[in-house]
Amino acid sequence: MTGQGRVSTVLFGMILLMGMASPAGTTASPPSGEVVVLAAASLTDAFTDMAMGLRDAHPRLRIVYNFAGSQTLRTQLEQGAAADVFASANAEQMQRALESGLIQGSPRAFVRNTLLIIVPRANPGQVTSFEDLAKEGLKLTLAGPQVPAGRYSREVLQAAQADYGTDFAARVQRNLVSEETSVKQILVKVLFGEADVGIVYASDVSENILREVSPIPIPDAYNRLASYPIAATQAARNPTGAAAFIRFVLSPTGQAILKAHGFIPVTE
Amino acid sequence: MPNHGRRHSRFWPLAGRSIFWRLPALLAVTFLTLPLLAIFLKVLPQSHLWRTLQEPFVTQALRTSLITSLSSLVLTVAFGTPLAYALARRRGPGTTLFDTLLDLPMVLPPTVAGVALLMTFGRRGLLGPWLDAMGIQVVFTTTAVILAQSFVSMPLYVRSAQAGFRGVDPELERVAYTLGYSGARTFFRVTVPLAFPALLSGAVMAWARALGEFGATIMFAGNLTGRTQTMPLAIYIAMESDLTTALVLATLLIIVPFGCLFATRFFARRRSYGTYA
Amino acid sequence: MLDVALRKKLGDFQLDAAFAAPDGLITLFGPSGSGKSLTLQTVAGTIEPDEGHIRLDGQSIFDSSSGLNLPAQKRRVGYVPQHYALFPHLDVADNIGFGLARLPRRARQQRIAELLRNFDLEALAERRPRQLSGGQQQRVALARALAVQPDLLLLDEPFAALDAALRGALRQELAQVQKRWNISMLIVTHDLSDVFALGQRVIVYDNGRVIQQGTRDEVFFRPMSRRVAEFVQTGNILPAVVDRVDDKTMWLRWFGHLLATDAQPLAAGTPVYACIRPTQILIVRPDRFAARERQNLLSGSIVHTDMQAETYTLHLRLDNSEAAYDLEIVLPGYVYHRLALQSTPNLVVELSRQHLHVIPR
Repeated sequence: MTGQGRVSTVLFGMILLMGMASPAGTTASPPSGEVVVLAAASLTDAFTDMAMGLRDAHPRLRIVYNFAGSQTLRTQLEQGAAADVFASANAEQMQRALESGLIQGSPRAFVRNTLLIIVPRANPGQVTSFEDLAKEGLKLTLAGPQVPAGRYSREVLQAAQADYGTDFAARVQRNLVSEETSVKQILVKVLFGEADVGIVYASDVSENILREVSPIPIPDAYNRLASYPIAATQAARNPTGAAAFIRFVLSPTGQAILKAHGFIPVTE
Repeated sequence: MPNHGRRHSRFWPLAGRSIFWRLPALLAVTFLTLPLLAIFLKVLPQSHLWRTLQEPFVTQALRTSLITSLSSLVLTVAFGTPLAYALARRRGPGTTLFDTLLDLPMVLPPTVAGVALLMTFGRRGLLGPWLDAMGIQVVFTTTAVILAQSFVSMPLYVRSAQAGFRGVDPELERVAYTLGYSGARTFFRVTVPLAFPALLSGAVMAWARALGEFGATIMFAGNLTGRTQTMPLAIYIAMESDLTTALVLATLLIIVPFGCLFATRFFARRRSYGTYA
Repeated sequence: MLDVALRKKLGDFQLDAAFAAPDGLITLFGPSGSGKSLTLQTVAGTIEPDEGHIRLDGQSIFDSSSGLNLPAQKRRVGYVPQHYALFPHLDVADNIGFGLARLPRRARQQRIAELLRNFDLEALAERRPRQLSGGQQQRVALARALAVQPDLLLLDEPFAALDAALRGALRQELAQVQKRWNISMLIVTHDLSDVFALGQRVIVYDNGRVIQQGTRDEVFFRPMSRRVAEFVQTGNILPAVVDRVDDKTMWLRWFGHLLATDAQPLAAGTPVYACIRPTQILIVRPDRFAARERQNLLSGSIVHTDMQAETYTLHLRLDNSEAAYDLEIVLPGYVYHRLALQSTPNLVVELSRQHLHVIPR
């Protein structure tokens, strides 16, 4: 128990004191209070549902989210943002946070994401397969190479060269009209029909979006599985709550919620 | 006749001497300058500033920014000047409505401005079919960047120019007409020279705003090095990988507009004729 | 010769004015908002009338019936606005030379030098307008307008911005310029002193219409209506009734008094105004009472004396009158003192017949 806990104990009475005095951790008081979660932008919808599911299990726990790009979140953490949990969209940012000593314990992969090709419903570029990405004159949008989604996309194109020829990646990238700063921007461009085709995370294509765009799968042989790590932070003010949140995300219920949002559960 | 406008220049209001006025004022100044200073303090100790500036990623963004912001400045002045003059000289029903509409691009979130432009010039936008028929593609081109910049910056220029033109006594124009000057000659020989400080500062403000444009550009023009990636976009992208490059670019984006704005103010102050009657 | 007939609607205001005036100094006189400046603008060509015509020396510069509307820059009409509107970004020489831009450089310089000399501005050639006094500004504005040799000069309230002391001197100067350059001037003013000093020809405006036009003396001493009489500060506008008309004399009844005036074809019982300016009322010295045949003698007492620097204004209440006062008299201060009016409780005045002007009510 932390010093902070002891102070609260002294100040706020018997019930907590009894809980503390209890020798077995499992019978400790139920997690309560506020948990601040820094989560990758692609988790926005899934984690919002997650908080609703969590309310049934831990009614006294209040989850506060801050969604942004993983790199931005890591920077915020470094600058001393008060947070209890960090859920990153890629291992790199988590690794850097770990090296900076911002993470408590070791991070755990909680979900995986795949890439997906999307085209506008009208399909102006007549794209019907992965191979069509190299069609001449196509307007293709990818995330920039500095963005994880953009890096994965380029790795996919590289991997596909084994089957489609050594210039495949180069031919595809000749079609590039914009290197977007986030996957959301790719969605906007395809939704508006400005881009003929884009590569996004499967989790980004919600049912609403599917009314406007058509998905085209990327063959499993080339597709990259982005693994999302989660961890409690070193500076967590509510470690009990943080632990409870992470436990819930990894639980069958939490994994089911993530799956419903297009993610691949770690258990599969 | 003495210049009455200057009579109060040494007047220091009583309230201004009180600590209750000076302290908040000081805090406000600190609040506004400290973050800028913070960037400098972070950047200056870096040893490879010059090398960073020469990276193709940086030079391309610089080039794109200069070309687009100067182009949007030309558009802004060419089309904004007649509009500002009309607004300054004409009062009628609807001018208030139009005046207010004109402010909207300035207060609109840039992302909304970008979506609005997409819905106008995009493939499925209002003008889309028409532009398509003419074989004109706007989105993802340098033209789109220029349009996005003009959209958010032109109102700044028009506002300033309008105020400048309002300050020119129409009697001066009438006198010029009766001395044989046509409307256009009067405009360039009388109206423009007198409104020049306002036109200049409006143009520089608009240009600086165009230079810093991010939200509408990313939404409407996308981001491609050498074509649509301007400095603010490059900064954002660089943040994802290399903070130093981002900060160096940011410093440039602070120094250059500051220099221009400061020079304009300095020049405008020296060139005020005052009233004489 | 200036011949103007105009209609112009501006919001609620309707200008419907017509006048003709020979060359020389013409003043448009009337209260603010009566349409004088608007008329000036239409002559200048900066505002287009709805209909009518403007002819200058027989040449049409505007005629709605033939669709003619010469632009301002082709009218050869000079314009000196109210505050002179000198170009603040140009020095005196460049202000004067502004309209000479088409002349070759040499000729232009020569002409500017000539004008600077004529208007005694040589020492100020490089000054900016804001460094000039009001009088200097007027000279620059006149020189600038005259540089292009216009056929007519328009001046809008030329003295309104100046203090009283300067006004007199500048009126003189303007009159001299008019004579020397032999140019017609159309001057808009609401100041009676301007009209009196400058108006060879006076056009009286009221509410968008011309209510009288004529020579200065006609307007001042023979106003055609009570309104004009008020504008020109007639002072004494006495409501009377025609009593009877002989072959040479018309008798007016004004309260208990019978006033003799020159005969006019008016029936007995016609209500009229008898007008006489305060300076035209004569004070009759008791010792000169029988010097000549007198008419229209009235006696009363001074109830109020208002002393200005040179002239005194007296309010006279007639015997048996219950009004605050009945007549206003203005006379030079020295006359007041020579007659020792400060110690003369009662006096007799004469409203001489040739000065009494009758307007039908």
